[in-house]
Amino acid sequence: MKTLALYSMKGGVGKTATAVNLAYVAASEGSRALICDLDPQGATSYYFRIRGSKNFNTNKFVKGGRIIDENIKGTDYPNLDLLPSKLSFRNMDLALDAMKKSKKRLRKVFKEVEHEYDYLFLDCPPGISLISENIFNAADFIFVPIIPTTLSVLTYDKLLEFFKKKGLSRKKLYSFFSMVETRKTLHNQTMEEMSANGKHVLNTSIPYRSDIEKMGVYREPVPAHLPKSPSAMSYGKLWMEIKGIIDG
Amino acid sequence: MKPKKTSFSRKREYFVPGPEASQEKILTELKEVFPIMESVSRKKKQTFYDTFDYKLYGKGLLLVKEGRKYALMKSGDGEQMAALSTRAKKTPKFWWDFPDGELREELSLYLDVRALMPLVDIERSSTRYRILNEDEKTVSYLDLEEINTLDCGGKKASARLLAVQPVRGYTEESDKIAEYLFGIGLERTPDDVLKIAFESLGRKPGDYSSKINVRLEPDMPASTAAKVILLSLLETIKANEQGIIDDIDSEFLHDYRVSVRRTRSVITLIKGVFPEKVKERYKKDFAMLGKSTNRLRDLDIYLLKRKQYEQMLPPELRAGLNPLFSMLENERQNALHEFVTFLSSPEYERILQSWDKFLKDTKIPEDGAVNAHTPILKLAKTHIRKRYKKALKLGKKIDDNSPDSDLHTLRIECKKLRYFLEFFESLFPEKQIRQAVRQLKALQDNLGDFNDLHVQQESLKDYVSKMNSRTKEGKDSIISAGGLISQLYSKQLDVRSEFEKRFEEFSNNETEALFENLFSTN
Repeated sequence: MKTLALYSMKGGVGKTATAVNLAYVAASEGSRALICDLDPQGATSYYFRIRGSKNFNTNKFVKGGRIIDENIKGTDYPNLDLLPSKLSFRNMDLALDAMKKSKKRLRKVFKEVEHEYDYLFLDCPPGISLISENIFNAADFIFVPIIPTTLSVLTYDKLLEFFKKKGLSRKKLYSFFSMVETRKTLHNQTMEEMSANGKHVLNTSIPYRSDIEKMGVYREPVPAHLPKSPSAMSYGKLWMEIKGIIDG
Repeated sequence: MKPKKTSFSRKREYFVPGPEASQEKILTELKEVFPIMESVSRKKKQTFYDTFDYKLYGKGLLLVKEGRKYALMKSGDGEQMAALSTRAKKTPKFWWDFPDGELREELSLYLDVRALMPLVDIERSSTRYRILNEDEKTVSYLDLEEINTLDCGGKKASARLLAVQPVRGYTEESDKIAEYLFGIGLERTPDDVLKIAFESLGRKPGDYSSKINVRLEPDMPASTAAKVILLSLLETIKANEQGIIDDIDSEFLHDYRVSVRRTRSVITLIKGVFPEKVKERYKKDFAMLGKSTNRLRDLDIYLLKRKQYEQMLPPELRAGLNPLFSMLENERQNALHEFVTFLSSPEYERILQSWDKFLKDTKIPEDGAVNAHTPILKLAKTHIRKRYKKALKLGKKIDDNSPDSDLHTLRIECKKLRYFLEFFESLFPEKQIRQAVRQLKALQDNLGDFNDLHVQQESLKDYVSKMNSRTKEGKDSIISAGGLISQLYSKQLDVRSEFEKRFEEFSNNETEALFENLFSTN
């Protein structure tokens, strides 16, 4: 199983949409995929119309074991399962802090399902905290969506600094442009600059489009709802590029 | 890719709708209680394969061909064990005819030397319905299936099937639907598709086995019990005829022969059950049937051993065996043709018909059959005990200097004992009788191997004496056969040295007590 995190310090940059749509594309190709919704807002779970069980909570989650397996739910799509989030996930930092080896806890939790799936997608909450550090340790690859604006680029630089400070490997860190509006000069300029300077910037970017934004209305992955749309195509392309990186 | 393992059990439940419940009616009723969406309809054609004696089905497995793909799966939940996509037009017959890979490997564990045969063609049209919850999330799938079956004899039948498949994490909802279906009168069935298809044809998968499968009552008159056993043997004889004629694999003839031999044993060894005249007549008939298959079976064995023989020789000598095998192949074709001709002759039909008539006559004979009324349990005990004692006596005389013929005599005696244990198995406690058979089988295997190795050497010597030593091919062949003879001889010595140990196990106090306990008439 390869673990792929969709992470950003900032909120509202397209993490959830990317996690949902990439996982869908992977599963539709025949790979067994699991999405873990770590964000207490539960947008991923909402898109799939899945609610977590009443007796599942953040403490049980970080403890791990059989409970993980018992709480995985099948989506409406073949090969694609979801571990739904709970509102109590907002206290995950505290729960993690109480555990031994608190920075590597999540990695251990996900070991439970490593033989069941080919890919685990982590939809991460924004911010930078103990959960984030757990995610950095658990993931084999971290993909950071960036809206091509000055502020986003600054935030990304901060992330790189954090990695350096904590002695984390920057090798697994990748970024791609999200919610891109090509008619905005600023977007185009920022993308050009960053692609020229930075390493590990993916070639594929995801445009800003209303059919992606409306996922909350139709509550399906874009390629399932609008298989021939340009948005669906761009997620397909992004997955191709990511698979190339994973397979080395 | 990693093996597909899921800890989530995809518990799929099957239901059979009664004849009056149409699919529309079931759906209409369901729709009143659960939100249902139709999703996809699919049609697929599948051919199911197995050996004549259901080696796969017996182990809970199904081999299915769909389009170009073969899949071996578990009959219950359909979990796939191995698969293969092939462009080959010819259907592989034996496991070794499949290309290298997981399917061939799996099949090699089960098929032995038996051929795969198409059992039935099934056309499945299914419509999948999604059952939704209040969030319009799919929580369960309902598959309505129409199964049209065509068996290899051209018989057609159809059946309907409903399956409820839970989505992971929503088993409670599926349980509710299953309960509801049960409530409106649908019957739950643990059956697999093959079984359902077979049943629609009025058949049962696994309906052939070479084992004697009879239930005897202890106080049955001996002549009645003997007829029960003989009828079951006659069924096996008839069941194997077509496979011999079509030359499907070597085991049809083998099972046929075993049943003929067993028939002869019942006729000749159980004394005083049938009138002498009847006995003499059928003794002769079945002796003739047995004899007419001897050469064909010998040839089958040689041909099956080809790989093994080749591996006993250094690579450069292997080609020397080719003339031998092509000669055997030719001879086998002739022997088969001869026997098949006999099988379709009026003489053969007459023998089997009058035998069938005799067995189906339930009248107990009075003329000169002193044991006809004896309770079968008493007779069985006396016979088995006598045979065991005789085998012990023969075996105890054998030492390192005994001639091969002494082992041959013991082998024949053990065979008779084995038949009796099998005929009367249903009269004794299962566990103990199985144990007795196990002890005996270990000894029989040793004696059987010894005899086979002896016979093989003799016929190779005979072959060598006929070869022309002046041609190159003849010379090569003689060298190879010579090499093989010495290999077989050394194997035979190994087997001989094992005999003492096998016989000790068969004759020790423990086994003797087991036999005494089971078959003592006091």
